[in-house]
Amino acid sequence: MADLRTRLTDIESNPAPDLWPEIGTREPSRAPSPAPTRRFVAAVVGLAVAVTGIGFVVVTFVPTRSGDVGATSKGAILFETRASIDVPTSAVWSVDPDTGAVSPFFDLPQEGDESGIWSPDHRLIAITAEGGLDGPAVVIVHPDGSEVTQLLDGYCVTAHVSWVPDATALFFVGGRVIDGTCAEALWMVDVASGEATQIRDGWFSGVDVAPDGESILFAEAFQDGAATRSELWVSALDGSGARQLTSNGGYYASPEWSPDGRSIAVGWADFDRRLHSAIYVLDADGAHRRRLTDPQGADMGPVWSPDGRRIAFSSSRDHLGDPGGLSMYVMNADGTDEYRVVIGDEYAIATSWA
Amino acid sequence: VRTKDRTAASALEVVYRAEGNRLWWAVLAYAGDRDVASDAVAEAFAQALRRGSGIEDPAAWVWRASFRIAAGELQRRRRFHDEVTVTQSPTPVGLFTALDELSRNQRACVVLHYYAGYKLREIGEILGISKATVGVHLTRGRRRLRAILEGPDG
Repeated sequence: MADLRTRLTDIESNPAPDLWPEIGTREPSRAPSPAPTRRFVAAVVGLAVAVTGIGFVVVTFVPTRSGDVGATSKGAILFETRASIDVPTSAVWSVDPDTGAVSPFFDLPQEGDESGIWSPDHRLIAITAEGGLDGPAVVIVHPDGSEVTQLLDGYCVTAHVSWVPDATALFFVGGRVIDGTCAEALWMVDVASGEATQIRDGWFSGVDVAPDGESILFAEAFQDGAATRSELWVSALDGSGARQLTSNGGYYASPEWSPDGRSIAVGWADFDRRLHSAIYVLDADGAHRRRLTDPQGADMGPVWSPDGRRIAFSSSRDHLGDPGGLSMYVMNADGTDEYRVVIGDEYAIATSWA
Repeated sequence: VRTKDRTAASALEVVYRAEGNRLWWAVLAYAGDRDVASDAVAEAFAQALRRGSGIEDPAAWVWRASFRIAAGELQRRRRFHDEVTVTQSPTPVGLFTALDELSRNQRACVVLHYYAGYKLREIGEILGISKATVGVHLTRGRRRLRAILEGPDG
C-alpha cells in the first residue's frame, strides 16, 4: 500500500492554518500526559541489573526486520510484538524466560496483529491474525515453523484462542465479518475439517478450555448502565449449562485455567480504574480471589507455565503515558519473585507458554 | 531551568514548522472537522510547551497527543449529541475527497495506520473499538480507497 502512503503524504502540500502564535500563548486546558520515558526506564533498569548483579532476565527488545521466521521449542513463551520498526502490525516471537534469549518465530504475510498459542501437547502452534482479512484468520504450524493447515478464511479472530486437549479443535472469540464489522461471538473450529460452529452469542473478553477438555471458561462482557462489565462463566463445550463463577463487578479479561485445573488466573480491573488492572488467581469455582500484582499500570493476560508454578503476564507499568506499550513479566504462581523478561520498545504480550 | 525551557520551546517550534502542516491535515482527515483539528493540534503543542524539556521525542509525543485529544473531543461530541461539521474538501481534491467517501471509522483507521503509523491495538484504544474491528475497517477502507482512486474517475 505504498501508493496510499504516498497519496496521503500529498495532503500536506496544502497549507494548514498557522497555529504557532496561538500555541505560544495558549494555556493548556487539559492535564499534560506523562512523557514517554520508556527507553529511559529500560536503560536505568538495565544499568541497575548490571551493577547490582541481580539475576533477573531483562531483555531490551527492538525488532529488526519483517518477514523473520524461525523455530521455537518447549519451555519458550510465545509473545506478540511489532513485526519490525517499519511495520505497524505485529508478529509472533519467542523468548526463553530463564535465559532471556529472544528470537522471531512467525510472521504471517497478511496484515494483522498475530498471536501464537501452543497446543496442550506442544506439537502444534495456532497463529492468529487478529484484524487480518486478506487470508486465513488462523494458521496451524509446527514449532519449526512449517505449516500444517489454514483455517477460518473470511473470519475475524481476537487473541482469545484456546485448544482442546487433543488439539483437534480451537475455541476462539471472533466470528464472521458482517457489514464491515467483526461480529464477535464465541466459536469453535474443527482443525481437520475447518468447520466453524458458534457456541455462544455475546461479547467475550476471553475463553479457555479446561485441561480435562470437559468444559470451557469464558469472560462475558455486558453493559451495566453506562459501564461495561465482565464476569467469569463456565459451561459445557457446546455452551450449555453455563454457570456464573464471579459477580465482582469490574471487568475480567483473558482467564486461563492452571494446568491442574484447580485455579484460574485472570486480569481484573475495577471499571472506574480500568487502566489499572491487576492479575488475580481464583479457585476453580470462583472462590478465594487473590490479587497477585500491584496495579502500577495495567497488568493483563496471565499465562501459566506448563508446570503451573509460574505465571507470565504483560504490563504497561514501564510505559505509562504511552498507550499500547507493554512489557512481559514472570512471577511465581503465588505472586512472589516477579521479574521482567522482555521490555519491548513497543509492546510484548505473552500469549502462550510451552 | 528557564534556559532549558527556552531551548525546549525553540526545539518545539522547529517540530511545529516541520510537522505541523502534516499533523493538522492528518487530524483533519481523521476528525473531519477543522475546529477539532486546530484545537487538538494547538492543545497538544501547548501541553508539550508546558512540559518543556521533559519530553524525549517531541514529534512523536505531539502526534499521539493530537489524535488522542481529537478522539476525546469527538467522543465528547457524540456523548452530548453535538454535530460534527464535515469539512469541505480542499483544493486540489483527490485523496482527501476519496477519504470523505469512507465511513468515519474507516477513514480514521486508514489515516491513523497509513499516515500516522499507529498499530491496530493503539487505534482500537483511540477509537474505542476492538482491534479486530480496526482490522476490518482498515481492510474495507483500503479496498474502497483503492477502488475509488483506481476507478475510472480516480
